[in-house]
Amino acid sequence: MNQDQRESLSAVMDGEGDELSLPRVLKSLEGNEEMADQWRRYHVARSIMKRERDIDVSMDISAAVRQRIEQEPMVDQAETATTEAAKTGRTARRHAPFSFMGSAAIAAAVSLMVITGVQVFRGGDEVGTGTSLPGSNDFALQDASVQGGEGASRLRTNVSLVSLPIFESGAEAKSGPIRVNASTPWMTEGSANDSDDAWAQYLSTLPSDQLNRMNDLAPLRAAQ
Amino acid sequence: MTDNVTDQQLVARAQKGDSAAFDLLVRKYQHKIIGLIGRYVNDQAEVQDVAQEAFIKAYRALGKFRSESAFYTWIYRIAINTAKNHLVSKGRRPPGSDLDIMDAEVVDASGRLSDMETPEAALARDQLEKAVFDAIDALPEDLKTAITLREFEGLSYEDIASIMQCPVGTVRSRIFRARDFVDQRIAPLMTGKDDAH
Repeated sequence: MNQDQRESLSAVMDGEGDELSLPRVLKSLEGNEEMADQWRRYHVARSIMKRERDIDVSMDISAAVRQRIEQEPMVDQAETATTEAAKTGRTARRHAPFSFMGSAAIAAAVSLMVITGVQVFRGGDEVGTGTSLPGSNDFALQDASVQGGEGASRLRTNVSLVSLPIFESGAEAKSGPIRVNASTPWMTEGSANDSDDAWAQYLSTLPSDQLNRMNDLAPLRAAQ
Repeated sequence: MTDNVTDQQLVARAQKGDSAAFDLLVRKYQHKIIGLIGRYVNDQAEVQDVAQEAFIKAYRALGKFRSESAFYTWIYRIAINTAKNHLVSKGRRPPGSDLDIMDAEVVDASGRLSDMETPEAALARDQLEKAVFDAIDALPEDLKTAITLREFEGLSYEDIASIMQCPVGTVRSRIFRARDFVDQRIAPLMTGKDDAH
């Protein structure tokens, strides 16, 4: 073992060798037990200098491990390749054109929803303010706007479940799956409205067909 | 290039089937791993077996290692799991919680775990410690400065060259000569300890 090889070993240990240092050192280690053991002792000396008290230098298992590794099959390179492929695949999917188109489609859908929402509310607004955006009257609420003035204002401030087709408000309402009015506990304000007592009282006034429909639509209330 | 980069290069070569590269990793980390397993397993023969098993498991799983963590962190976890599995297989209960890898270093520095050491291990380490520090004290000043800045301060060769106002090649040579001097003092204490398994 010459001095250059040992000096390279020392530099590699410090991570200060060039690209060719490690291959050279590994080549010079072939059949050179003394140099390999020197590597071990260099690291033990380093640990001691750094006061690492967790090291146990009373035994050396490297020969036994080496012997067992010789009986082992080669490191599973196929597994390494699979792992790399999986990693590359994930990266490729992440940057695929389809991914961009998907993002664009989602962005377009969100934009459409926002525009629609603005137009709906501007449709209500238009009645009160007299201003509108192009196309703002294309939606169902424009029918309500013909009431004008006070009616429109009421519509704007009372946008609620009553506005949805699934519910019908008013004492005369007959066709909606659920009929609601001012006595419905969760349609009126007040701290006691949502209490069990208020609900029990309200439910006792309902016909059985409506109770059945309410059972079917129970999740809607939970969502409130 | 840092020490971790050297590990990564060794791992990369071992993954390609270079068993000599894995052998260097074993030689580098075995004493830390044996010390770690010794905290879980008391019997020295069992410690050797479990430490060997941990390295063999690491070798088998090397294809899964992707260098996202340091090699030592990875082998550290394998060693702890192997030690715990060993205790379970022997009908013994493993400790409820692990020492964190950073906590372990703190605890080690305080010396609180030294009670768990075997007398042989403690004696061997004490002898080595004395030999190493005596050797450093005996070094010529330029070699002592170079090795001190490298091992105690963790400076790069370039930084040491700047401080010592000499070429990087000179630093490399001084550090090697200092190591070689220390190695000559500790080699007699570390021979004849090969595992007979």
